[in-house]
Amino acid sequence: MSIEEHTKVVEDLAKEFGEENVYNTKVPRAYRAFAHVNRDKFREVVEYLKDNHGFVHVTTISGVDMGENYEVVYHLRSEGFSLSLKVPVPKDDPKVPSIVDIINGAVLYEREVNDLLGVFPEGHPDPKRLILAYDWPEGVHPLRKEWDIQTIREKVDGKKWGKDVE
Amino acid sequence: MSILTWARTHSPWLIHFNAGACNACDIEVVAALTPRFDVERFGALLKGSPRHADVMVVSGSVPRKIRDRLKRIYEQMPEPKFVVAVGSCAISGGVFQDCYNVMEGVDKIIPVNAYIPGCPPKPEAILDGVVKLLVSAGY
Repeated sequence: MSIEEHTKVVEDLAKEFGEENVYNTKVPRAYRAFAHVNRDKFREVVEYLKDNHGFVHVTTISGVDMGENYEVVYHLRSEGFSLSLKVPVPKDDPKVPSIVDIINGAVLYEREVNDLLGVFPEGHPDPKRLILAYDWPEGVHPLRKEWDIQTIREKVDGKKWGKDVE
Repeated sequence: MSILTWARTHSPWLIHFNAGACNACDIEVVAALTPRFDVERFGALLKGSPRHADVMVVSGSVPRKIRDRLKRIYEQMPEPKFVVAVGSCAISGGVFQDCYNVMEGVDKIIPVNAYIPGCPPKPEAILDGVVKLLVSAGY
């Protein structure tokens, strides 16, 4: 496979779903590509990629706090070709459609993003806590940028503590 | 020196507890147990159960989920018991200070008798720490 064929995969995707749903596409080299995907069309995009280009494997899902919104990045993979789909999520409605029924491997990653960034996977079969401690309070997501460490400790332990606090 | 103190300080049996360490300290602890450094000349043996141990050697920054287990393992040890914190993480959290999931040091959870700094400490340093602990216990 060459960079031309990989560029064609991403261009096909943008043509199929329209420039308003698949945008900011980037193919820096062969076997690597990026694209922003609209949240409303995201499930259709993943289904299309799975059926037509063999993207059956999700390497990982990362969640990023971009300041004005969150971004959930799905790293899909097909025969060595890595395609990262970035889905912007508004902060006042932190939800993404779950892709577990399309790609089963996403089941733990979606729970992890829900734990650490608080982006809820809608339609997930079992969206319970994965990695935070058992006594961790509901609604405290440590990777959100609006809290610093002392705010989190106040919420979790009921008081500030650490080297900055007497 | 009473005969009890003599007996206890000449056979300090160890239990090694990894409280979220990156394995560097654990490798050095295991290296300190080899014949090259030979802790057995002080009567120290690594035991598999906290119920047989007198000294707990703890490495790692103590994440929140391990906190309760560390306390429970400590409570299972028979008296008199001692705790040695090995490495920067076990002393203060090390580079993981101010992480949301880190308790910053063993002494936030259980009392600690000896601190061995280093990232990771050399086997000689671990031996020195254990010997200093024994001396403080009346060796």
